[in-house]
Amino acid sequence: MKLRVSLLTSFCFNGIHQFASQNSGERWPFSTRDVELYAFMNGDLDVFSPSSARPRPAARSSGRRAEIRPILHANAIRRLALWDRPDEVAANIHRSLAGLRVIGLSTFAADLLAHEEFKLAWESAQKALVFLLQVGRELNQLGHEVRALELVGGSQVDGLWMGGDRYGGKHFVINRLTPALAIERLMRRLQPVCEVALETGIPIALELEVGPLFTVSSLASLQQVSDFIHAQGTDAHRRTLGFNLDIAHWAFLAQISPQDVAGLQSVRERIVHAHISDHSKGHFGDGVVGEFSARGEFEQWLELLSQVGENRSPELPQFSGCVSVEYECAPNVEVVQESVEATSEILRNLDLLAE
Amino acid sequence: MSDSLALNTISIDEALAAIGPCRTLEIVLTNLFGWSDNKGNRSPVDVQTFPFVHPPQIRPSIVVRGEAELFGLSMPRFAIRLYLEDGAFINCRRLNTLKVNAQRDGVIERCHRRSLAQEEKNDVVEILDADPPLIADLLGEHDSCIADSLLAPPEMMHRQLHLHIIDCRSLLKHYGGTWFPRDGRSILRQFGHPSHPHSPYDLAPIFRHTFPEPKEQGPRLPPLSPYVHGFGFGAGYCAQAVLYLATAMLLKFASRICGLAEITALTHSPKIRELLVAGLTPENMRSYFHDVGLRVTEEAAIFPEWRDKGIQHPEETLHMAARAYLQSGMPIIVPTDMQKLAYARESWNERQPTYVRNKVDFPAEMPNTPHVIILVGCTTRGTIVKDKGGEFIFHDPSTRPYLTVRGHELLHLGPPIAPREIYSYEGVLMPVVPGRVQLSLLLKRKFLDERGVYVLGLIYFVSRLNEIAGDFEDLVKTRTPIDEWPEILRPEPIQEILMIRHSHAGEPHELAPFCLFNFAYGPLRESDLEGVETDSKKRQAFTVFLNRIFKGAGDYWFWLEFAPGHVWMWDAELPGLELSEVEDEVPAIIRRLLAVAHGDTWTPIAGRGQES
Repeated sequence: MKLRVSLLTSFCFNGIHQFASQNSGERWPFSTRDVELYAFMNGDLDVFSPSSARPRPAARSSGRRAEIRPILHANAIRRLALWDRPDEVAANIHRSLAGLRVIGLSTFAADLLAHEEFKLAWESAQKALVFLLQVGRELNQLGHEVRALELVGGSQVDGLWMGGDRYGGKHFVINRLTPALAIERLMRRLQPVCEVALETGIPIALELEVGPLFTVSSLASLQQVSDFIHAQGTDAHRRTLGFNLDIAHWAFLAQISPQDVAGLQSVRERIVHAHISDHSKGHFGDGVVGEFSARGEFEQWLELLSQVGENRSPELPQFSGCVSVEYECAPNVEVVQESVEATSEILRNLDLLAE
Repeated sequence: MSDSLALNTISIDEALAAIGPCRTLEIVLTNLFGWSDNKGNRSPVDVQTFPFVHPPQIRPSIVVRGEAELFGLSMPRFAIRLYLEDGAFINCRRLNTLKVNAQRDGVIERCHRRSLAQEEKNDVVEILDADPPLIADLLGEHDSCIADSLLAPPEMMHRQLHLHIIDCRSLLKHYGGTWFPRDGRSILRQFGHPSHPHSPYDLAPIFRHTFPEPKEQGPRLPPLSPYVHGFGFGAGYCAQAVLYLATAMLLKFASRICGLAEITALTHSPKIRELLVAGLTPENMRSYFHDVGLRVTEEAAIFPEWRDKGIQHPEETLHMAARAYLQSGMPIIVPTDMQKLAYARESWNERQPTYVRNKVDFPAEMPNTPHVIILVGCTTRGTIVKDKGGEFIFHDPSTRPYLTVRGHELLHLGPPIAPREIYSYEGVLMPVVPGRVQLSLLLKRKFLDERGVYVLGLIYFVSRLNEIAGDFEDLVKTRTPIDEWPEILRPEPIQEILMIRHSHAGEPHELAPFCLFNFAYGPLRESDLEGVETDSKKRQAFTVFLNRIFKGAGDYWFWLEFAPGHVWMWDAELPGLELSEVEDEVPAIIRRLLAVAHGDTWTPIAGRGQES
């Protein structure tokens, strides 16, 4: 199948509105009109508050042109969830985007894996995810194509405490879960979310984050999650839970090869969405595609992605068909444009770009 | 910038509201930019009115990202980046935002030790208080907002001391570029010197004062060095910080890099579920560096347990080795004691203690506190003897960057010996090198089954070789010379030692353009180079020489030893030779080497790349 290029960056909707609105005099600066929305930014609270009938324009900079001023505020989702009007939120998003198409929602709910005793924290994370799925369904009814809810798999950290050594020293101590316990907890906490995902038809795409404290951090942990779903998962797990193939994370940070994935059916058949950016040897931030790595390396992954969705059983979560160019906290518009163009060019050369 | 549509910019007021009050930020800015005279006096800098070269931006930070993960928080995952001149920047932790989120979510109270099995516990610590600590204990008044940053040395200091700083300007690329303010244009995709698509500064910088610098066009940018300040975990976090800094400085040769929180995890056994945010042992450090493809060694001019071995001139030897590592781009971790940095006024430190001289604030009373600092540069003017070893530049993750320590102080700043610890770290340096480099310069201490083993470093080997010159004529005469075997055993003092990497594949800059070799492995006379007139011929000759040795091998690390009449080339990837405690094995080693060298083909004395 051919792939669509979408865009994921830290724009608040207000900022997108600034570009996308026909009345603003600004031109949407990217060649794709498919966007994956990071849920949510500070400015979004202004847009989505119950009293806000229309999106307010973003604050203008001192310069001639408008400035996009998103401030990442992941907790915004909690406040919106309390409002409990996914239909109104979706309607406001739809109005804000003025011709753009939402293909996915992306978030980070670290509290999902909080210790059992901190029910308030993990229940809040669950509600937030459910709310997002409901917003996605509403958006789809307005003509958007929300095909995945992407989220980080969570941290293995289970708490911090103060300890003392036998010589009188005081030290902070981090409690960590074993990888197996972390995955088991993740699956349990996602269960009610997956039930809603089944209703809405929007699969959940778990993100692999490299590092010794993340739950889903390596090829081994991808396999463990797949095995858990297969052996102990519920029907909702099996039908809605998959992976986001973040090319930079998988290939350049976790050292996973396309051949590794092609050879692991249990992982390959659960790829439901994809991100693309470039990293070198650490997660300093997203780079323009091709900045650190040869284009040939991206080609192999994109070719793999063009095949993962083919002939997939309807009992499994489906692939979105989109590759989101990711540039979190980008310094300016140009680098994002450059990354979108580089990705499109690679796909075009492979004859895999869905125009 | 004027043509760019900036994203994620915020006002300085918004930035400072998210960061919260941070004394360290003021101190660092004051010490970088507040120099008011050439005696090092500083005028306080006000963060609110400081002329940052670009409005603050919300940007990613490898350190902040890991700390959010540590707290299990969704935010703050990103830092606020404050832009300084010439590409330098400070990534600031959003401490206020963290505090608000952590308090709301009760993160710090999540104590669950009781659920762990005995083998999963960390036997170093016990629960201290029945009541869990509050977030206020964690985020106290001394906490620093300064996360992973790239900083240039203070301009006046750089000029006065003629510094050589390990230049990591190439890290800008990993941070998505930065702003180049002098002509107001963006260098988001361009890093290093504007007129050089491949910056010369991270490429063979070691030869800059040994040989003439290549002619550069345009203004020369100052070096940039990574810096990170520890977080609110007390002095213990300094170890994680220096491990991060060393990895960042050697990123080109490391397999990966992660933030401070992840480093804590990497230094613990996977079986242990209680991770101690505290000082790391040398064993922890060795394990971490092995994991990221680098190597740290314990080296000393003379180990305390060797004090009676009659080793000559340990101070000069230590300085020479430290300079060699630093000028080769290799940082050095120095285990120390904060109390000594603050108060030491012993006979060896006739002037002011290190912190006092550097105008570092410290508490009126400070107990012995194990601490680590990292040497990142040295002065390049003045002889070692005249200037007591000159000055070395270090970053202190508990106070601030770009402090100076005198060469002669390095022998005496060691940490207190921990209870039940046998081995002292007085005068011990811990250079960090690429994983394949095994040959140390000083005496190297390593541990096998808790038994200390000593390895002969290059400087001692050469010094001993000089002492016993003339004892091996029988061996020299028996071998067949390639052309004319140089007088290898003629005593010649070491002038300088530097490390290079030769690469056949795609990294021509690693080949120092002014290397003067055209002969064969072993000592090369400068007279051999007569008639080699142009740089290109020198480069060609050197490449031919290396190809002869390695027959097309990929890349390789060497130590170069500069003596008045020769340049020696030593294989840096060979393990050093272990010494017994009493026996002087150097003559035997030399006889073995010469015997191996019999014949026209050089053969390593041990397998290359073997782990020591």
